[in-house]
Amino acid sequence: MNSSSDEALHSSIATLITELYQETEVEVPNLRRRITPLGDLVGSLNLVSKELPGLSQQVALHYLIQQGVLLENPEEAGRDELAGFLYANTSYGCIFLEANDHLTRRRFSVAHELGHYLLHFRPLLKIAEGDQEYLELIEALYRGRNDDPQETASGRVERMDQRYLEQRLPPEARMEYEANQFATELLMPETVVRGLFARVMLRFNEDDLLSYLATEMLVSQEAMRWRLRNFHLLPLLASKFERGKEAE
Amino acid sequence: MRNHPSDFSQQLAREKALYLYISAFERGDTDKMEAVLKQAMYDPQLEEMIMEAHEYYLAEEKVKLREEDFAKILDLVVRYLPSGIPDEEEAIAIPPLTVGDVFGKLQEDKSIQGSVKQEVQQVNAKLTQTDVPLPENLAMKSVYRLFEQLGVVVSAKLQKLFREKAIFLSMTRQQGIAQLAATRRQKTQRHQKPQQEEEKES
Repeated sequence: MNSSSDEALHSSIATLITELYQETEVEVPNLRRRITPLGDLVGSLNLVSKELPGLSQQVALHYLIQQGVLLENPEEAGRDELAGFLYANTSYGCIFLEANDHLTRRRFSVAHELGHYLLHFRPLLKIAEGDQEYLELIEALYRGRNDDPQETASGRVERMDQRYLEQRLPPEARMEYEANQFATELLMPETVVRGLFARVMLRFNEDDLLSYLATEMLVSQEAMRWRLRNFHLLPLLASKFERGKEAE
Repeated sequence: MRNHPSDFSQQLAREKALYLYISAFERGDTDKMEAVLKQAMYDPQLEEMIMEAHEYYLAEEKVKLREEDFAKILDLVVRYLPSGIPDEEEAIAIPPLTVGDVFGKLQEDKSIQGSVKQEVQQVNAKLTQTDVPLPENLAMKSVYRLFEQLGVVVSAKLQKLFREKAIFLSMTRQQGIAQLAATRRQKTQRHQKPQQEEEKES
């Protein structure tokens, strides 16, 4: 992906996140309230989130059948272990999470699925509604080693019939990248990360700094490391210690 | 005038099929219902008898179907019986989901136990208007305002459960309406085809 398309994506995600906070009337994270209020955001849309142990596509769809949302289990529902799963129809949706994942992983999964919902599903569902077409969309986030956006997110968006998707959505890999980027920017807003970093960079070594920032924002250290590298803050930190050593 | 013997045996077969259908309907045995509906696809009289039975059950017996059963039966009927598909004007007749529907669902949910279960029963008993339609926007704030308007105090936990059930019910309803619309479109297309062919021939 070239830098100009990256910039365009960053800009459109920033706009989408601003609109999300406006639409939901939820307080935007700041240096005082650093943790992204994911529960409030999801709860302010027509979405529910549900934690299920042993999450797979089959488990999630079975739950929807129990709730009467689906009449029958689509054939060949996957049994692969999932970290997240999104089901949405015309106006409503459900985000499923693996109940046994640790908190930061679950938070990343919610943010990733919310990204798919806002970036890819909702616009398409609105078009379909205008066309008087009924759509059901699903997305599966397969389990990675951790919630480092570079290491996870082999997800897949599907529809119970694929025709609509192929014509109107970006390629799979692109959508996954976009959803990860959305999750990263939602969970670790640039102003908060930079502000906290500036406050504490002189007090900690790299490991402690990562641990502090990750804890303050309720994300994994891997995700925070990735975010800081994106802002070119980690090399600065390394050079700070090198300068320190030289001085000794 | 007496029926011809073959008419009589046909009618007997229909009555037997209707009996099987109603028994299956009462038991919620959709497989058996489906088998009878397939038969009715080729027998307009049996189809009429089944539709009359449905009207009776819904009107006289005041059957309160669970949303998923409603969706299943609707799916079966519109799949097999052309007369089961309402016309465009009748389409609006599907009633909106109400607060009472959601409380009905909450009361059925066996996973709800203890103090929340008690609260569900208490709030349900206090509600003077259960036929209040659910808002389309089911955000937490919207649910909070709904209970405020209804004049009942509901715990945050129950509001969350209510919202969850309401969203699942709304999803089910959207699916049912979409299936109905799709079947109606197919029906219209089926009607239009012979007309177009006739026009071409003339």
